[in-house]
Amino acid sequence: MSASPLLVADCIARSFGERRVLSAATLRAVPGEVRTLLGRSGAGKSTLMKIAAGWMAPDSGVVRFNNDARLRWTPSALARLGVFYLPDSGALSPSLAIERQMLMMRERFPGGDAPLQALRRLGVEQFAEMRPHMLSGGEQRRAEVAAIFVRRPRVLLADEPLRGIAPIDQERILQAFRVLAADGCAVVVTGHDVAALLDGADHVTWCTSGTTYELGAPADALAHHAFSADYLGKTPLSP
Amino acid sequence: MRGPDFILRHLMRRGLLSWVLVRMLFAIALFLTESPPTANGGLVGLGVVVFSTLVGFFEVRRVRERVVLANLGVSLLSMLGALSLAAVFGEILLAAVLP
Repeated sequence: MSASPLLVADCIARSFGERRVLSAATLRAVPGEVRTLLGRSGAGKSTLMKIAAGWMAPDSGVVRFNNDARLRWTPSALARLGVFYLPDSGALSPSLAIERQMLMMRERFPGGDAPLQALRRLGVEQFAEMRPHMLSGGEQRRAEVAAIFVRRPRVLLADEPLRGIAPIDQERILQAFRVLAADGCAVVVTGHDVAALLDGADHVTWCTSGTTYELGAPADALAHHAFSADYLGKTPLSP
Repeated sequence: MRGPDFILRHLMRRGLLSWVLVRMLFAIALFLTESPPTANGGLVGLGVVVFSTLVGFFEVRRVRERVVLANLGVSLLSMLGALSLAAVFGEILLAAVLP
């Protein structure tokens, strides 16, 4: 049985001008689980993640952290409680060396891995002295995931972390998420790399038509008729 | 080196650069419009502080540092404070030096 969620963005509605992106969507981050949020482009996955991380205010609905409910949290308040947001645009500054940024994180939040140990986990220790923009997309992503090991957050919200990177890097990143979840972190990850995400996830949430459906384990999601037809395009996939 | 202190110092340096840039633009504008030096009033100083803070803020937004800072638990208010600090001190100094 699942533990109770640590972070919940509950019954979220959000519009952009006339366009209603979310009407009643819910995101749950459960300790010890890797949850994947799937949906077509424009379905509102990133919007829901931003709202859960405090980067955007919902029109209605609440965000609860450990049963403390607010309409909107600030990103820094959630970060101090242990939420780490990994946006699709990246989470490391291009103006400082990677190891230096990790040292700042470790000094601010002690208890995680040492920077070099974390970089070694992801196989990017040779880039410690470099700035992120000097690395390829896949290397940069791995360095960002290494930074998560330095922080050791209670909740990780990763928005499309596998986008545009090689399958071997995807595998390494998903493996890292599994390690974090095994240590009690609540991981929520979005993306379109369905096979890889389903392979690494414990639970699937489908975001469509402004709302979310909890489909359960990847095998149950693949057996879900509407999900298969409307999102996977009836492509048969083995879990 | 404490983490947020270090990055706040980084922001202060960026704030200083923004202030120098905004002040230079303002000096050029004064020169081109042949305005008297007395145009450097208190309200102008306040405007320079606000404008240079905004310039620094949009630069920070552009380069992802806001996400880095937020993940470090640094609030928006602290960030704006660090960005405006150099401008505030610069304007006080100018007010004391200029006639």
